[in-house]
This record gives sequence, C-alpha cells and structure tokens, in this order.
Amino acid sequence: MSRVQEFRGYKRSDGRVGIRNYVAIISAMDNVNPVARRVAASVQGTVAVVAGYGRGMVGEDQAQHDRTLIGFGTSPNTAGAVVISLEPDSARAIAEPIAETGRPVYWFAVEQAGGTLKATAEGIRVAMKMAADAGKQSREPAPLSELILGVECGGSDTTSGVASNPATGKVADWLVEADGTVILSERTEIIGGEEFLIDNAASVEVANALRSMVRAREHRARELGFELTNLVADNIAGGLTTMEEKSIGAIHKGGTKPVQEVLGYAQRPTKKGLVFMDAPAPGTENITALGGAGAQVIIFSTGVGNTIGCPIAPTIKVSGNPNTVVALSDNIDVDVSSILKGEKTIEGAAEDLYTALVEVANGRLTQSEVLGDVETVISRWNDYNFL
Amino acid sequence: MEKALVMNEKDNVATAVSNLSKDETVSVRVGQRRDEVSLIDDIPFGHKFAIRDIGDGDKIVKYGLTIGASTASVKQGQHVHTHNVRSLRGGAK
Repeated sequence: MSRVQEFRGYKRSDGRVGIRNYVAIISAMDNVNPVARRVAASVQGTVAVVAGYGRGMVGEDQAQHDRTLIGFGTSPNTAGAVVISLEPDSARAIAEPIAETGRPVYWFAVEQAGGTLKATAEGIRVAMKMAADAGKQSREPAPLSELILGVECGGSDTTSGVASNPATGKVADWLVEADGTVILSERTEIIGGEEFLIDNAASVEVANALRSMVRAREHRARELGFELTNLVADNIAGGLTTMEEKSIGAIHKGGTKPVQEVLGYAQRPTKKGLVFMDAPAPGTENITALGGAGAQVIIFSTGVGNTIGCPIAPTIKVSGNPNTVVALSDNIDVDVSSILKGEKTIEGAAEDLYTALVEVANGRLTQSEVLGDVETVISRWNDYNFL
Repeated sequence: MEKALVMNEKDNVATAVSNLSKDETVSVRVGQRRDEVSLIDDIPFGHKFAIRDIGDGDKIVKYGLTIGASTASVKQGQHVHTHNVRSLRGGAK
C-alpha cells in the first residue's frame, strides 16, 4: 500500500527540518536550573532544557554533557536558544556551536547579571523576542527522508516483545524504506541478541564495533564482579525471565534493516537508514541521548507503562498491553493491544502507529507534551554506568 | 482470542496473553499445527509455560532463539520463569 511520504515542518538555516519550533532555554550548569525553568515557564514557545551537573566534570564526561546540550540547541526542532550559566565560559562553550548553525543564540551568566531575579528578567526579555520571531516561520512540505526517528522501550513486559516492539520495528522499516533515519540504542538491551544485529551489519567495521561494544561491557562487569543485567523488578513481574529474552524482544523495535553505523551518546547520525547508538537503556537518559543526536521524534514502546518524554523531541508512547492502555490511558498515544486480542496483525497495528508518527510530525501534540511529562537527564561517563 | 502465543515453531515455551489457571487446558498454535497443553501451575498474564517437557540444563527457546537454560527439569504445562531458568549472558556467574 502507499503510505504518506511527506510531512509539514520548519526548514532551518542548516538545511534540516523540524517538527516543532521551540526556543530552547538551556542551563549549562545545574546551579542555575531554577533560572532557566522560570524563564521557560514565563514565555510561550520555549522549552526548558535543564539537566544535572555541568560543573566539576572533566574529559569525556564534560564532552558528553556539552555535546548533548549543544545537540538540543541545534536540534531541527529548535528555532533558537538562550543559554544560561553561573559564569560566562560554560555558557559560551554551549552557545557558540549553536550559533555556528545560523540559529539566533543569546548567552549570559547569572554572576554578571546580578543575581537570579535580574537573570530571570534578562532571560525572559531575550526569549520573548526570539519566540516572537520564531512564530513568523510557517510549516512547509518536506519529505519523510528528513526525519530522524529515535526508538526506545521502557517499562517493558512480555507484550513489548510480542506487540509494541514489533509494531515499532515495522514503522522503523517503512521510514528507512522512505530514506529516513532510525536510531536504535540501549547497549545492554542488545546483549544476548547482538548476533542478529551483527549478521545484519552493513559493513565489517559496524559488525566489529557492535561486537566489541558488547564484549567490553560483559568483560568489565566480570572484572567488577557483578552480574550485568537489563532486567528490573517490573520486567520480572511482567513475565520477562532473562536479559536474552528482553534483548531479543527489544531489538525488534529497530526493525530489520542493516545497521549503517555505531554512534556514541548523543552523536548525530552521519548516515541514513538504521543506526545504532551506544547509550544507556534507562528511559529518561536514553531519550535525552536521542534528542541530543537530533532525532525530531521518538517512538517509546512500553508494556507496564513508562510516562516520560523528551522536552525537545515529541515522544510517542505505544503499548500493546490491554491493561496498560486502559490504566495509563492519560499517557499512551497509540494502542496496539489489538495484536494480543487477535483483532489486528502486527502490520495492521503498525499502520496506526505510522499514521500517528506523521500526525505528530505535522504538529499533533503527544500526551507527554500536553501534560509536560518531560525531563532531561544526561548520562555521566563512568565505569559504573552499565545499563 | 488466543490465550497464549508461541512466537516460533522451534520454541519450547508459550507466552500467556491472559491470566491462566492451573488444570486449564490451553490450545496453542505452533507454526501450522495446534497443541493442547494442560497447565500444572497458574500462569499470570505475560508469563511463560513449557509446551513440552524440558530437561535440567536444557536451552529455553523463544522467538526461535535461546533465552536461557533451565536450572531444573520442567514439565509440560509448568511455569517457566526466574525460579527455574538462568541467563547464559551478562557477567559474573
């Protein structure tokens, strides 16, 4: 059948196309998060990007933090950014790379503004102007190939593996067939199922990168003397028994196309098609990595229910659990429980999910956007960050 | 509506898609054929049961792939979960 192949989005100076038109209010250090929140709450059309840390970091830890915030500021969904920090250097470090994409950026330090009240006023004044300017831009037709879709699962149970993940995987395949990009991530969620991705790798280099990523995690877990597992209590209560079972179910959400490259946390894809990102699995930090990589939209598959969304990338919640779609109806965007009820095939339910994806790209708000159930958590770079 | 799903015909477990009770007989589709399994445990929604006898240490197969190994012999119709299956991956054992 012929599916919709285009959406209406916001064309950016760097050639990318957004599905939202946000002014990002970015806090470069967590000690000024309240100022960024206050500014964002005061100005329509803005979104707060506030995370922990941003100070006392070195090396790759700092680089990963900064790359993620810069990624939010340069997301196709971002029209401009206001960067706030306690002192000037950290604000400038985030703001300058955003400015290089041609977006309007304003940065300042709370120390120089004269405290948080004056900083809040300064932030509101510049954000107001930026948001008013952003509102002058209209949506224009764009091919679906401009989309980067992040796929994630959380609150997984057995239904994730037999319904919502396979339906998400079908949509992922269709987007790749439309020359779009799909980011599959969650490094520990592939352990036990990695051979299928490796067999499907587009090159020997990609296969080796996937294999060495998994081996390194397993090796380090043994050295530290703990069991590497992706299973948590709600997974086990839901009927998942081993990490292999969860992984094989989880991999289904990326679809069946060859893996084109392996990315680091919040790194932008350089290739079209299915790509793999080496990022931790827990939902909030994973969708932060996806948003930071420039995904305009995320499909988040859930079994027992996970309600969180990414502030910059609308997050579509899909569940195939007949209980969850009723009990958590406030938080679920797409119901694919028809698969378990025997009313629809996986492909039939995936058509509904694809329709929702295009609608959200065209401006339909997700439940987590409407309710403000969004959060930013940037993973820290350290030995113990295994999941 | 199916009461339980077998994802691949190589599988030795089925996944309950409703709450199932001990002594219930469940018909499951395995590829082209249907098998009858009499349950010897209650099987909660989302949990698995053996569709044939499984020896101690044998592989547990779902999606046609190995998801772990049994830690005891398992009878057809018995609950298959963390109490009688171990992971074969992931570090210290």
